[in-house]
Amino acid sequence: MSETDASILSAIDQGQFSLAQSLLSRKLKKFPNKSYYWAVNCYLLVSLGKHEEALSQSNALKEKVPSDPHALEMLYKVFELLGRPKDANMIYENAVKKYPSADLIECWFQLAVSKFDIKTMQKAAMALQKHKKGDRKLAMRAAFCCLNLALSKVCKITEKEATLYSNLGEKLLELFDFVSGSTQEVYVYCKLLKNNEKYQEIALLLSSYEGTLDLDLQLLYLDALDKLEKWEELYLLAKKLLFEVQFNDFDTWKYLIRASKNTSRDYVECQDLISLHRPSTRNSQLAAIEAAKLYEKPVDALILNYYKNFSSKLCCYTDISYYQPTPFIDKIKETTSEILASSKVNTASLITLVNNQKFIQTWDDKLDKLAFIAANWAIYHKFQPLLAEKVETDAYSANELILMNVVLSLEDKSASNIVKNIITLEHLLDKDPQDFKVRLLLLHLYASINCDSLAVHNYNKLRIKMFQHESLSHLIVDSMTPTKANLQELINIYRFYLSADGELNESVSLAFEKEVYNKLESFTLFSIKLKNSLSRYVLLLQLIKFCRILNDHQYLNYFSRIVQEHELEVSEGSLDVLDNRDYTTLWSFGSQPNTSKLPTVKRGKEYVQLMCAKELLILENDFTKTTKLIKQFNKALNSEKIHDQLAQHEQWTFKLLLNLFKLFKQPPSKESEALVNFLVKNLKLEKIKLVASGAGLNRCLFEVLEFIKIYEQISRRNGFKSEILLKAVANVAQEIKNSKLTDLTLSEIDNVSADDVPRESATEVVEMIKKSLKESSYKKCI
Amino acid sequence: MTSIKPFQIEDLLDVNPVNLDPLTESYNVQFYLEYLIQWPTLFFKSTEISDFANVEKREISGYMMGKAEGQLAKKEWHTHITAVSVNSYYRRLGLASHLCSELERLTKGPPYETLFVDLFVKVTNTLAQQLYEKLGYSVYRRVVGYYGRTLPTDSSKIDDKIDAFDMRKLLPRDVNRETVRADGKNHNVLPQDVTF
Ligand SMILES: CC(C)(COP(=O)(O)OP(=O)(O)OC[C@H]1O[C@@H](n2cnc3c(N)ncnc32)[C@H](O)[C@@H]1OP(=O)(O)O)[C@@H](O)C(=O)NCCC(=O)NCCS
Repeated sequence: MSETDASILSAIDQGQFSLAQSLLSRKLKKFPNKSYYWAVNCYLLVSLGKHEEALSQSNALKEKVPSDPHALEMLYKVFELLGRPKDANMIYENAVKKYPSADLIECWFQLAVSKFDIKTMQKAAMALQKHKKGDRKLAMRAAFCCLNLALSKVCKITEKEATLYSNLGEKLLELFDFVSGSTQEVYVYCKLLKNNEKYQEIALLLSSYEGTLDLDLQLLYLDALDKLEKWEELYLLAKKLLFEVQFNDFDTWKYLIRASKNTSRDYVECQDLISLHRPSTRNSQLAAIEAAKLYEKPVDALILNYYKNFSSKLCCYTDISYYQPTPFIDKIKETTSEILASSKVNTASLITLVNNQKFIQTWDDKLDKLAFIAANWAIYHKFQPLLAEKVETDAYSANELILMNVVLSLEDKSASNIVKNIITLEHLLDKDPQDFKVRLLLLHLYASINCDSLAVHNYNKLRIKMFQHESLSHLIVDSMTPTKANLQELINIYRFYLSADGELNESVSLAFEKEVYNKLESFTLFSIKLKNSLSRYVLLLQLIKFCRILNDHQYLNYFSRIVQEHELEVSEGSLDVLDNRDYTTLWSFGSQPNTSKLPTVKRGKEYVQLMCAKELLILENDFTKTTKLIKQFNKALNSEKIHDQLAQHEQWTFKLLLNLFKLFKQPPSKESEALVNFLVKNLKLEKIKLVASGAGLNRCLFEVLEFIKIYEQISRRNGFKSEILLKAVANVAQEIKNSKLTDLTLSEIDNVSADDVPRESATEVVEMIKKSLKESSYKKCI
Repeated sequence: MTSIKPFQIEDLLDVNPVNLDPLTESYNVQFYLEYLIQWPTLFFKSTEISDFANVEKREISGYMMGKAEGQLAKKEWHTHITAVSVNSYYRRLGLASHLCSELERLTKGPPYETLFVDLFVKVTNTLAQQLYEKLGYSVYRRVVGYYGRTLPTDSSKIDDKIDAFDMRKLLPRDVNRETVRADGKNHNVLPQDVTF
């Protein structure tokens, strides 16, 4: 690319359209036959918002079947921006048909890789292997792409198509010999065979394979023998892995037990073999239980035996729960009494008590909650000397007892009770600052009562970073209020996505080059998961909202453009959104599953669709487009699923927005007066107080402040004028300014304290909370 | 009930219970991708099955991230433990030991056949040191300022908070035991001396 070529593109990207236009027209005059410049011209037209003209010119260019890779890439981009991915791919398909050169097909393939487009990768890889028949590497790559497509959970292909692709992939490799091939090649071939249910072939190949089977191949081999019911072979292989190779793997134990039963080895022989395993491990002891289950023998005695050996390990409760034995609550209570009667204080006894409390909570139908809570505190206090002895970073199990208490107590969801539990959790952290389970729950409680700064503080204390944002950022992002500090936090989180995009792009390409097929399927899926991530969308939409409220126009433009790239999907209601959030880790402690969680909203796909439609509606002025968008906005707002995704007050603010959009983003109609009336009737502080209370009130006020900004922005641009609406908006803004609403929450929590926590510590926490509440108050923004 | 499976990049979305641990580092995605591409067999995880209220779940209980590097001619061709970490609910069961032994088994023979396994551990992380000692590792040298923010220049300025021990375990290929030493704690080096 020449210097001028680069400056044309950068002028377009920076919005310097007349400069771009003059540079480009010189080029077009000089090189009227160069398709590249015509493609750039289309790009300029799209960027200018002249979509129809861009489309007709792009189509005209498409008809000419350009083959210059730069032109193709540019035209591809234009079609993508116009929301026509099919046409984008078609230009390559046509070019490749007409001028089938290896370089061109490779370009097409690399482009598909960079877009994580599994379908096109397969097409391009197939074209390339056809072009160079007999090339082992290209055939392998094409076969993998068939496999990847067949397995893909995101491509929405039918089962029939999946079978077709698997067969096609297998066919491509038929002529190759794999006995001495690389493990990666064998992996692809065996996975295709597996998809085609050809287990016999898998077993045959892997039993005669000359190299060492890696873990992937070993798992495929075991699975194939199992499916083929080759019990004796399976028995011998599993036994060798467990006893000779010392591959201590529970799934392999299960194969061994199943094979043992099916080869008519009797129960005693099977148990004898298990007991011979050295060293005796948790896996081997659980295998004994598994064997009893499979041979349909009593399990309770074995479970008790397991309890005897593992009650002082934290996995005990989970392991035993899995086998659902007859509850042995008397034995549990007896052990607890013995430990409590003794003066010995050690980690093993503590963990046993923690496990026992979990069993008691699960098994005791007549559990006396208050007594249970008191017992947990008593254990906590008795074992406190261990806290002083332990290595700072080592996990401390007694905290879990108090977490169980907190969950029980959270049945009362009032602000003062949440604060009480916060005090308790802060107390635990004071003694043991490294416990992430405590901190995670604490941050969740802070977020639920609008203490953003404290939620964020704890989020950062947990050192949540990089990829962890993807699954955990929802803990702070969803409920955050728009302060300057929070905006900065969100931008920092967003940076992760920008760098991950680039890293994944490079790595997927490199993995293809290095033929690391057993990782590539996950690479592409992960890339797609991040690209269409729900957390990422919610973050982006929060960023836009924050920038708008805080008047950060530069960032507002930047982030809004990203939403605009999805215009077509949003207006057709076909936006792909994938959810990778972790809601489990926060609650995985104590006796599970944990109930009585806090009633926080859980954003979903419909919310993203609604919010994207909102943002596009704010920006769009073309009535044909806005009509479509209003339809989608309305549809999302009325969908059944949206109710759990919005806070109560948001249902109301979105209705206000709907009316506003109908008023300003549609041609004036008879309806206009009714729309104005609705808005005027609702834009009052009194009304706000009716729709929101507690922590929701502060958030609702932010929503209204944003509404006012949106009103100002779109009413300025549009011809419709209404004096009474203008007045109503000004009035409500003034009312909000004069109000003292958040002080209510502050007084509610003034004297909160918690049992078992010193008074001074409680007061300190309450003061901290008050300060944080003030920091996240809507008042900061007016 | 632990099973061993290959690590996949998507697992990053499920490792929170392991990575939220204060001593377990989370890196940028590129770092994990590089390991998966370069040493796909040396990155594996342990998984557990649980069942509460009849909802069966598989969760990640730990992982091993390893690599092989260094020149054989310089007697530096070795296996390196980059990260090993176990969810606190599954500790003291021998899981980390098993993950280490697996890595050792995978690299002591072909195709890797390295001379030794090594790792860096914080001088203050005595728990992990006990684990490695039990497995036969010993300190080879102290890397001064390995975990510090700035690159140190003086190897005599020791500081437990930011120094690391480079611990090693001999593998059968080093028949003459040339890559380990008994008095490792007395050898101080700088971070720039331990790159391969
Ligand atoms: C260090 C860590 C990996 C150990 O995992 P683990 O699965 O519990 O280890 P093992 O069960 O194999 O332990 C083997 C031996 O190490 C020692 N050890 C491990 N954890 C210990 C602890 N908390 N306290 C005392 N000794 C400990 C013991 O000698 C133990 O044998 P024993 O249980 O028979 O007494 C785990 O605690 C962890 O993930 N920590 C955070 C991450 C980390 O520090 N990684 C190492 C960085 S180099």
